Amino acid sequence: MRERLAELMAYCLRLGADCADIRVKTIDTESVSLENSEIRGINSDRSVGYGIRVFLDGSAGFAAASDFDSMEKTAERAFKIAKASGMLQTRKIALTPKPVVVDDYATPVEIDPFTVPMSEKIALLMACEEAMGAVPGVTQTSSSMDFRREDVVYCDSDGSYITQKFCQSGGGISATAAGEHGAEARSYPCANRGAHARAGYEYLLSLRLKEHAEEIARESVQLLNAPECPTGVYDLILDPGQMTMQIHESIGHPTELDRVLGYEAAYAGTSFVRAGDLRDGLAYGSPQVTVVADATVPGGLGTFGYDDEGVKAASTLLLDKGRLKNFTTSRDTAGQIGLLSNGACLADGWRHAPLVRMTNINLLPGAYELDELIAGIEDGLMLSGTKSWSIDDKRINFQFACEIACEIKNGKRTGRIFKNAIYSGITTQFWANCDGVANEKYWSMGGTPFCGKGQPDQTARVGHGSSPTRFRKVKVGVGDAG
Amino acid sequence: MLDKNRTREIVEKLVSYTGNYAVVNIYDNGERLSKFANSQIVHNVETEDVLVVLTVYSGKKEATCSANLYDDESLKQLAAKADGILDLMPEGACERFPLGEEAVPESRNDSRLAETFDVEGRVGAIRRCVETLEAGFSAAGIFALYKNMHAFGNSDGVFHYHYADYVHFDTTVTHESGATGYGGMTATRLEDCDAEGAFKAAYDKARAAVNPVYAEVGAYTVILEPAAVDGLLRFVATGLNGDNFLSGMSYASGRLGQKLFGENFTLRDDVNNPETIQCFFDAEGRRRTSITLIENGTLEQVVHDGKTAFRAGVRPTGHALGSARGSSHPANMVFYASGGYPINLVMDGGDSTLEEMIASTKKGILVTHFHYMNYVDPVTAQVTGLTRDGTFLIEDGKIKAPIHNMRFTESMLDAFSNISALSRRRERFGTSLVPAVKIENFHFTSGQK
Repeated sequence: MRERLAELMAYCLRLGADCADIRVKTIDTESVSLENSEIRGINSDRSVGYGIRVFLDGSAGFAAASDFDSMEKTAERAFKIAKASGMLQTRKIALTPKPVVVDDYATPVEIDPFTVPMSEKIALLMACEEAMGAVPGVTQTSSSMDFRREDVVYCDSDGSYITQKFCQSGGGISATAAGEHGAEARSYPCANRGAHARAGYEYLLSLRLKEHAEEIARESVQLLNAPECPTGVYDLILDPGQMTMQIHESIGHPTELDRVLGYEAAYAGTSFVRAGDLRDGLAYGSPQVTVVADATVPGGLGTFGYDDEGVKAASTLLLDKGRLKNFTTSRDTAGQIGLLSNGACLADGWRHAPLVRMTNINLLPGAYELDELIAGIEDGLMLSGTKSWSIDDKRINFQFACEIACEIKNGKRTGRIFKNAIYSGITTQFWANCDGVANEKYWSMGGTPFCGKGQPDQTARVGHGSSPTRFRKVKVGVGDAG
Repeated sequence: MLDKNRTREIVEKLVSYTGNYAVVNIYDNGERLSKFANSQIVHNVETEDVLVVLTVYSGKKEATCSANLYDDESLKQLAAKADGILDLMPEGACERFPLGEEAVPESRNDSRLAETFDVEGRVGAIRRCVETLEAGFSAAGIFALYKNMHAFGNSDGVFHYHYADYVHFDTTVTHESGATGYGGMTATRLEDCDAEGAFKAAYDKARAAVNPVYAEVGAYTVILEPAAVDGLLRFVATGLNGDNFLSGMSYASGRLGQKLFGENFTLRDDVNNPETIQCFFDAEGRRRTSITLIENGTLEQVVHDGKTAFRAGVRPTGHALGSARGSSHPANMVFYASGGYPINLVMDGGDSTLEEMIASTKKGILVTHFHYMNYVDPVTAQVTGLTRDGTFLIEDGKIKAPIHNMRFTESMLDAFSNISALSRRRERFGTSLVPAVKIENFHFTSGQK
């Protein structure tokens, strides 16, 4: 393979390209889905192909195919596209330098999920289904697990050759109670097919799905009969599951440099952050807020050895005690603000060109015990379970809904729960009102395997680490009284 | 692109290689997309991807395997893998509706689209647009040519084939102050391609959007342009999915035959309307039917694939979706679910015009389109989202000022019960055909300050 790809890169140069790179990917996925104690679907997929990126006089072209007998033709297509791009290229693309690397990387895996018998996977989910279904009042149950294996070969015309093997595992369960006046769902560890990590089957087992099945089923029934969440201005504690969404939408996306530079203006949107804000150290949040883009953290969905431009995985400080310190970048975008790429340029599979993506965007742990965070609240709520999310195209105004709100009064949890908890805010005001982050004992990695961005639309797997976090004076509810 | 004979050959091989009843879907999607930002090309890509999806059945068991490899050896491996999974499975609950003999019309394809919009054609069209911009304005967007092939076959010898190209252009023009305007177009015929027209609309909007003011949150009369209406309709349609309907997680659950919306709201799923993007069979091989979903505000029908139809005790409506990554058909790009989805949404228009709606509004807001909409609660059909790329305050029948983007949180049941005017002219967005509408008492719940 190495010789063939090196020869292909040489062929690109002979065509006239200034430089070129290729990603060859083999992706295997497997998913198991149950509903109401019946198998809803077992799906297995294999996708093999390659994508070639060619640069010519400051313009780029990308072509992807799965026919390995016509790689030279695909390279010629990419070259032709790069040439056409030059028809409308006022700023020439300039890739920042990087070292030539020959290396291998593999996700540490204890149990290869693709070797675990299907009967064992079904039995685990069936046990969850039965535990949830046994709770009176539960009207629907669902459970799932998903596995993904990627073999990636990166090669470029500078001589880099990198092979990587990624393994992703995850799963989740959900119970719904429906009645005359609506329906309420609870999920574990989170909604939308659960939690995932770059790890083996041991991660799925560590979630201990069955042990949580009865609890979330009971909560779904309690929620159906629970009062509506009160509206007003409250102090909130968000659990790490909800923090995943909060960090993702209001820190991760706004600090992607391609958005800041306007590349996504027509679709995903731009950012309220400007490139010049880096110089001034924009006040993004309170001193409690220190955030890194860390592609090296074990198990993170955004953990790898090298990004899809062959840049080594790094840990980059994005926000330091609330001040903007950096962006997630690619070789093209970083150079525009005088920086080197910090290795955050990733492609969804082989058929897409790489673009700036979040890696693991993590809020570093603070100094508080969870009880201390709760003790500091006179009248507030602790929110869990993402139910709905929305944010504007500049990432200023967000609104999230959670599955469950637990009441806090006079520094203690009262045991009372509410349904339909919705909160909203303005990004920098919200993070400025963050006054406490729980310590490393409560810190965990989460993330989403479904982050959409780009045209053509690409799905990325991104990680978010956090611990329970307190925010003051948050608008709860959606009344239009301001 | 795989032709009819080659896809039929793949189907026949897979049927012969598996020891079980087989259903095969094959997708071959070519995507040629030129993306621009800051008035220049930032991504320019062409991809081809074939997906062969094999579902095998035995008794009440079902297993699905797919791959993008279709040489003889790979097809044998695919069949063996699917059979292997099926053998390991306990008895399930899968029920298959038998496919009857159904004539499926041939899809029409305008080959001039691919000839005209090769990479030079696309970049040239974008360049002609951005060259019209004055200093201080820039543009972003895409010009894409999508080549969609879908073939279906099964062990009973049923075989259907669809191939059609379409083009999509959309753009956001931005003024250096941050003001933006949107325009877009989708076309299946060369004569309908008017990228310059869509671009001009975006440019005009951006110019008009300079120096915005903040509007107070509250209930307003809104005038929604067709792109904004299309965005809301996606959430009305999601509630009409058979799975959501049966699970109780939809506003429609248990309410067939009830008047849920206003008298002037009629919504159909009409694959036979040539103004939509047509594919006449679904992923279960059934003929897509044209159905009335909502007639004068009354919930008439929801859509079903075979599984939810069986559970509901009705016939499937021909709306089964295939694999999530199986198609670049716009409906699958934005949404995937079991239980079916109404792809070809066609909403009845009225007798008004956008200009007349504005002129008849004492105080209101004109919305170009929405961003990042999501259900807050599917049971009450409450949806949230934000305006973008052209939002304007209307006072005394005139546009008074551009305004900063605002968030709405509104039940679709209320929104489509409060329509006070609909435009005669309807526009195509993706697979939908929709009018502009005027809605009373629409709730904006926050702004950007």
